[in-house]
Amino acid sequence: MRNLPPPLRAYLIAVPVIGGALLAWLSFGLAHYPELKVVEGIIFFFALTLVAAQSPVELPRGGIMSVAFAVDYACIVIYGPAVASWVAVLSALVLLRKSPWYKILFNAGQLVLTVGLAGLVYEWSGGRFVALSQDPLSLRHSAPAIILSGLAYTLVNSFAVATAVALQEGRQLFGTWRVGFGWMGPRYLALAPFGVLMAMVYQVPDLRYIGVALFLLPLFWARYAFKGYVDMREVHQQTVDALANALEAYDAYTEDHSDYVSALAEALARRLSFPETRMEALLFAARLHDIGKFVMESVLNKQAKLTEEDWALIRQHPAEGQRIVAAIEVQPGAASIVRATHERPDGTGYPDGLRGDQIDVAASIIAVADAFHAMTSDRAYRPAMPEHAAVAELSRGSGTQFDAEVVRCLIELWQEGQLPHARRTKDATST
Amino acid sequence: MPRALRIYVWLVSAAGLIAVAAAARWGNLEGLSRASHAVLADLAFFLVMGCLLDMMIVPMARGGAVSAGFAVFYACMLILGPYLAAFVAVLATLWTDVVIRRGIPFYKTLFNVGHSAISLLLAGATYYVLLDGQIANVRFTSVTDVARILGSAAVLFGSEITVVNLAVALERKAPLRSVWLGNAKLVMPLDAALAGVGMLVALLYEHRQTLFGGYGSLFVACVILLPTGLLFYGSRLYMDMYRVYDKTLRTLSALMEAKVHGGEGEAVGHGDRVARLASAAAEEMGLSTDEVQAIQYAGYLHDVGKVGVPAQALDNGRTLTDEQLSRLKQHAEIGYEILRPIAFLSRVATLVRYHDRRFDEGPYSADHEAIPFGSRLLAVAERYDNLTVSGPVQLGPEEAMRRLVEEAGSLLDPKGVHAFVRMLARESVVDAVRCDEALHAI
Repeated sequence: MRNLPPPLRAYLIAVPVIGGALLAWLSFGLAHYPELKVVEGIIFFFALTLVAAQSPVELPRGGIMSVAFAVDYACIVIYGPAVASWVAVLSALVLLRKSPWYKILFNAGQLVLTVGLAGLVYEWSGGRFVALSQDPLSLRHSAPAIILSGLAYTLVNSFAVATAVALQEGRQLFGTWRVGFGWMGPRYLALAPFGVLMAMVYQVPDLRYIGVALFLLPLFWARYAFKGYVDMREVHQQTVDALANALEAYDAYTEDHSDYVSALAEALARRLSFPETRMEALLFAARLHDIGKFVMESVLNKQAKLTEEDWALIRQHPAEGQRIVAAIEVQPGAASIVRATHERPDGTGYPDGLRGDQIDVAASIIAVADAFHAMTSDRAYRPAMPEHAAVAELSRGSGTQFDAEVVRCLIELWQEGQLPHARRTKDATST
Repeated sequence: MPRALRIYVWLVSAAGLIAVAAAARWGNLEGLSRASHAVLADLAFFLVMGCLLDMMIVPMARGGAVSAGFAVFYACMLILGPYLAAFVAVLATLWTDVVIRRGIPFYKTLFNVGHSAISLLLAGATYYVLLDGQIANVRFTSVTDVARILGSAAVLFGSEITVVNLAVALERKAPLRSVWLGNAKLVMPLDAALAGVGMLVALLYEHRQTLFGGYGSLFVACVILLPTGLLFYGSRLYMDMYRVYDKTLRTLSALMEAKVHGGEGEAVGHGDRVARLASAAAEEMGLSTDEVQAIQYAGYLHDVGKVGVPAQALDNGRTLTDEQLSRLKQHAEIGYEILRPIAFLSRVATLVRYHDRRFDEGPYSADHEAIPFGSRLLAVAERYDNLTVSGPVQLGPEEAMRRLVEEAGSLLDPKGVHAFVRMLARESVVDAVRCDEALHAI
């Protein structure tokens, strides 16, 4: 907690405080419903949530997804916001018991806000608690309430989480939220009707327990499959990183090169307010921007003067890189970025000779980061250039060889001392 | 198509058609001719739902696919009985294969129709005859109720998995056991979920009046599309990721080969071939699915360490100096270092580390680690590829097989050679008689 940035700390404290207040207020409100079997509801749904929330899935860019949402939602429709909030708090305390205390508190608070507000929206927009009414839940009557509260749930939940992630990692709030919501939104909206159905099934005395249990089966599998998917994605990323590193590590000059280029590209992209939704593709492309070169090893390490054919081959390396990255296919969009990393605003770049606005900003960012690191690290034929000389060289090429806007950002970062630190590059080990 | 597979496919198709004919003859289709509107409406419901869900197909990692239609067919079996369920399954399968997916060979459609019908009739026999169930009366009140439902679901999906995997095994010429186990790990949870959806459909359909009033079936239909859609989407993502991962490893290994060997000559595709041969031999031995997969991945990656070996040391044409030879010897160790950070590939890293060891160097490494059998299999596969494709001289398969047998016990593990040669015979690369002769020599 101590080493967290102050705005994040304030946020992590504010959320549980507001959540606690809301929980207290909702609990007092229970006095209006003396016939509601509060304890029975809490116990049943608490047990259900514990089962449903087993090992939630961590999403790639922050946040978690769990099928517990469907259970939360059923609880809102059956017992209303107060009971649902209590269930949410209890489950957060139990499920996150191994996390640091501030995380537990934040998540409990965040869940109360989410569930409580969604429940209030449900109540205020005319939804009835199933546990209190004699007639079966009428979809025609409750549809607006159901839809509105589902929306409220998704919005509050995704904003609460995105704010924490954005504060922690210094990203834009809206972009972070959009990435997270892009992931969560459709799943939550798909899960919401489950919650309603569970509530409906719960009303039929014959079906109450078995019916609700049967709903959990497909939910479990969905969770299992999503978890498998997310894990495999992670493994995939690690594998590509490790193998790309290996290719580099044993290459004469480029050791650590792509590590630095992706760090610098990320810094530049943040400064340029590059859309958060494309950040993963940019970073992936930055990691692999040189991969097309490895195939042309023999030409690039040639001592003699390069022939015309050699040059033609070299000018194809970004296209080769595009082909390889497309074959790896984990980040749609990364391949075309790689292709454009050697284009120049004045149209003399390769392989397509694009000019100005035709070049993807992502590719321009990588081109500048690439050139900067190439100049500031040792090469066999010349020692490293000092940073100020490299910056001067970049501004000379600004607008012709390099994108002017990106160069401006790099100069700003340099003046503020915000450039990422390079690991000391070792001497070339090749024999 | 192999002959065994052809016979099998025709057998299943014929049995399926006979089953459907029997259903038409003895099933409660007379109930339909009495034009009971209720039965017709039920039938229409299950037919539409069956067609919709049958379009959701999840391809499996080791061949074959699972269709979500089975959830509906199962529900139909509970509500309308096995004959009508088989009828629905047949029509839905025809619909997906002929109208939606198109271009599917006719024998495959027939096979799909056949195995669905057989599995449903078997499940129906379990539910109604063996365990004495009643039509349209799904209960969970007594132990027998639960046994009836779970038992028939197990029979349905069990027979479905087995019949389909047998076809996959015959097609890939791989042992049934390894295909079955390889798929079951992923298919079983999916099937359990589908069975759950099926029970849910049956329950909701039975109680549709109480739950949803007038337009009951319409609501049930909407309700069911959701969980199955989610199921389908999640599974699709998951299975796709396996495919993508496999492709990535192959791409990267090809890239390494290109970097190391300049993208020319017989060395290209070496990783691919070793992966295929070694994992096929591992399946032949009935090793566990995880081990087979680890061996396959290790096959792609076994020479990754060569990126750390200077080019001169890899040049086959020249004689190597001692120093170059020792650098070349290190490539397995370097490969291990490269792969070690990836937790998912820890087993693969170990296999790569020891793939280069001679059998007569003993069963333990310098630091007393037991050499895994998978490494031995990789060594055999690599040797075979060197002899037949990527080495200086290219031998025919039978000549190469004889060389492997000669080297068993010195360079190669006799057990590994044994399995490898049997695999070659099974895949009809070498003649079965020659294979037996060769095996006697070990």
